[in-house]
Parts: sequence; structure tokens; C-alpha cells
Amino acid sequence: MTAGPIDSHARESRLGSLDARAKIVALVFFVVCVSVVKGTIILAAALAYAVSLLIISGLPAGHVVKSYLLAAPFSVIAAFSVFWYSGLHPAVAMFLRISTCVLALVLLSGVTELFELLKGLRGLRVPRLFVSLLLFTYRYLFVISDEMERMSLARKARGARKGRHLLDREGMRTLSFAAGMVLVRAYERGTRMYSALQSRGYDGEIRTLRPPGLKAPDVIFMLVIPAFSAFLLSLEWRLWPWA
Amino acid sequence: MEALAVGVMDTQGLAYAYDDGTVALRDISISIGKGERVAIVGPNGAGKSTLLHMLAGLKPSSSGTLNLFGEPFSRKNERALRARMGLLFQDPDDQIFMPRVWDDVAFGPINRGLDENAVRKRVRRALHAAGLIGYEERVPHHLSYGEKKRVAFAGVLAMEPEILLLDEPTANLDPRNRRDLLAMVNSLNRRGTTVVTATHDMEAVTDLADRVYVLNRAIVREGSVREIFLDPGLLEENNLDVPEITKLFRLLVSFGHDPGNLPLSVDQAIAQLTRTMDESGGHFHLHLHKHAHEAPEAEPAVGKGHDHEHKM
Repeated sequence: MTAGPIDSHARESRLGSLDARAKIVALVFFVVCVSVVKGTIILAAALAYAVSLLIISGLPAGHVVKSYLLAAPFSVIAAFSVFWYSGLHPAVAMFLRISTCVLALVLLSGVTELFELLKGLRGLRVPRLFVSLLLFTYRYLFVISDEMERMSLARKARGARKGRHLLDREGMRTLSFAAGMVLVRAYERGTRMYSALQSRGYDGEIRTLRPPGLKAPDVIFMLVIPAFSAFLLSLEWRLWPWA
Repeated sequence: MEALAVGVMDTQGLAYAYDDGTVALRDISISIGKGERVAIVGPNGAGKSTLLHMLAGLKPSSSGTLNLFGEPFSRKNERALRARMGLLFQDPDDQIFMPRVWDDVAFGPINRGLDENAVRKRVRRALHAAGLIGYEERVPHHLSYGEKKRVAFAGVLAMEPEILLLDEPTANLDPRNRRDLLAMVNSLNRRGTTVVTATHDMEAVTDLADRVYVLNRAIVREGSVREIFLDPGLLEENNLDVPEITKLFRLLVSFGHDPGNLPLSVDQAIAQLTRTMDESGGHFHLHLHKHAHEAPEAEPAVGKGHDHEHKM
């Protein structure tokens, strides 16, 4: 296996034990508020807030930076295109806004086990089809990537070489056969898996035990972050006489 | 075999054809009684898995009838009937869909609508039986194949099925996992669970079944394990083999050992050797002749009283 799961640090994180629903509600609310804000200074404050939440969470810096960099192309391209049409100020705002949102979501996915996150989404009435799809994708991603790794080894063992460029016909041919093979295998596995689901009483809903009710820390988390988000919005909309 | 008082699984002329018309199975009529241990044996591609999936009510037959627990299987009762059976898939990855062991084992019981306490109790019992205490929080893709097989088995156990269907249960298992799995299945059987195994592992057949159906697209033969094992022609035709120990004793018979009954497993062999030695005062008689065969088609050494030309 090459890629580690995104939630590998969730358990040791300081926010790991909070209820997933509380984290989803609070951080999604934060993201929504931030995406409305235009003021650069307010956005900088939001970014600082997101970073300090990350520090409090105890997520390893390397993990955060890596996850953030994955999304960096989007923020850079977006900022650049805004710069092209509207100038420096909106471009910086755009960059800060996207970075803040990405960091908030890195925090959410980093401190919540993915399974808990999905259960939380389902608890918040996200359609079951969507949640099941995410769940199975997550579970079988590793199975299929292992399968692909084995296939690639088998290709190597039989002397196939990698395609060196897009016009390398031989290399691309091998690769396209491999891709087709992965599809066929995934389809077959899907069929068997559906049988397995049926034989254990599946009716379209992935049921888990009902999560326990929200505890005090969950409620506090769910109050503090939205309160700060609302404060940012109030600054943006100049609701304070001194602003 | 003894009369089957209560049939839990009966089929009449069951057939299966693929979408392109290829016939995978035809005219399958089998009958399995409550608490029986039955093996469906056959070569690769004989349709064992397909039949097992059909018996589990997961694949619709193209013709014929399937009766489960005395009821004809239909769309109306399929969910209720499936819930009373557990199928262990050959590849555990097909069967473990939750990202955490505990939740995967709990999947069936929760679907059954049991309350939280009952679910927890069942999961604990299943994990304990499968030797998985301490694995509750583990992630399936970090487990070894043997561990995954145990998780899949625990998931089936937690359903507390009346019929256990096993698809090549011993394939790819190391000796310890294999032994444990066989022991778990048999302990369930002693408590009344019907066990139906599809396999070509004939060593496992002696451990997992009393009665055998030989399948090769259709049912070729039905009989006790002994009857089937003592028909080398039948096994040969169907790319099957008898356990090594049986072969060894077949050889010993030709050297003058009186087998009474050919042992089909190591345990039976040990019992028989002990008995033989007890009866003859601690001795075990074999008549061995050293001789050479000139003709390639010569008869194998057939024991006592023969006159052989000794070379050297």
C-alpha cells in the first residue's frame, strides 16, 4: 500500500473524540461564512483562526502541509485568474479565502475518523446513497489499489516497460489494457459484494448503532466556532459602530 | 445415508445460464437435512460457487425450484429466508465492507433490527468465537488474509445462521487458520447448524462433510464421503483426488495390510493403526518385497505370496 488513509491521526488528535456531527456543523458553518467574506484583513484573521485551531488539534504539521498542498493548485489558479481580471486586492482575498476553507476542511477530515465522518453526515440527513457511495469508495479504494499494484508488478515481471510519453503506442496499449482490466475486476467485485450485502440483510441503508447524544464539549465546539464565524461576518457587514 | 427427517434445503431441477446463454448448471436436484454436513465437490469451473450463491438465494435460477426451510423461495420471502443463512465468500474482501472490524461484524445483526445490547452481545460472541478479541477497532485493509477470513467468518457468525454455506473455505489459509476455521465450523455443526461446503480440497471434505455431491455442471454422483473416495475413477474423471493418507493406505493394503476400512483422514489412520497394533500384540505386519519391474506396464507390487525375481 502506498497512500496512508487521510484519517490516520484522528485518534491521537485532541479533537478526535468530539462528536462528528458537531465538527461537521461547526466547520461547514465556518467555511460558508468565510466564503462570503471579502475583506482581506478579516480573511487574514479567519486564516489565523483556522491555523490556531489546527495547532490546538495537535495534527502533525507535515500532514497538514501535505494535505494543504494537494489543494494548492486550485487556490493558486483561482487567485491568479482573479488577479488577471480584478487586480491584486481581490486576488489576495481569493487566495486567503480558499486557503482558510481548505485548512478548515483539512482539520475536519484530519481529526475525524472517516467512518465517523460518514456516520455524522448520515446523522445530519445527507442522502444514504451518497454516504454509502463514499463509504464503499473508501473501503474498496485500498482493495483496488492493491490489485493495481499487483497487476503492475505482474506487468513488470513479464517485461512490460512504462509508456515514456503519450505517443508511445506500445506503452499506452499496455496501460489501456490494464485500465480495462481494473474496471472489469472492479465490476465483478461489485457484483459479489452486492451479493454479500444482500446475504447480510442490506436494504439500501447502512445502519450503525445510534450514536450517543452530544456531550458538553461537543456543544461548546458547536457554539465557539460558529460564534467566531458570525463575528467575522458581522465585521464584514460592518454591524459594529466602531468598524 | 439416514433418512432426512427435516429438509432445510431442497432443489428440483435447478438450472443456471449466463446472459449469453452458456449453461453453467443444469438439473440440480439436491436435498439437505437439518444439521447435516454436506460437501459439494467438483473441479474448477464446475459451477460450485454459482450453485452455492443460488442456494443462498442470491442468484436467481433460470429454471427449477428452490425450497428453503420447507418454503418455496420467492421474491416475497427472500429477505426473511436469506437472513436464516450465512454465506462465507471465498474472498473475504468481497464480504467486509465496513471500514472497521467491529462495525462489519455488527452489520448483519443491526440489519436484523436487534437492539443495541443484543447487537453488542452478538458481536462480542462472534469475535470471541473467531479469535478476534482485540481486533474491534482494526481497519480491514491492514489485516492479513487469514485475519480477514476470520473477520468475514465472524460477520457470518453474528447472523447466527441456521445454514452455513462455505465457498472454498480453506483456500489460501495457512495451517493454523485452516485448523481453526474447520474447528469453528464443526463446533457450530455440533450445535445444530447445517453446513454446506463447496470445495475441491478433498482433505477438507473429510473434516467438513459426511455426505458429498460431486458436481460438474450437473450432479454427477451423491454418496457418503467413503463411497465417493473409494471410487478413484469418478474422482479422476472430475479432476479430484483423495487425501494423501488414503493413498498411502491404499498402497499398504497392496502390501498386505488389512485395512478393514480405508482411513480417510490422519485421525482415522492413527486410530486404525493403533487398533491393528493392539490386536496383534504391538506389531504391525507388512510384507515388503524388493524387486524390479522390467516391463513398464508391470503390475504394482501386490503383496504376499508372490514370487519375484530379485535383481542386484
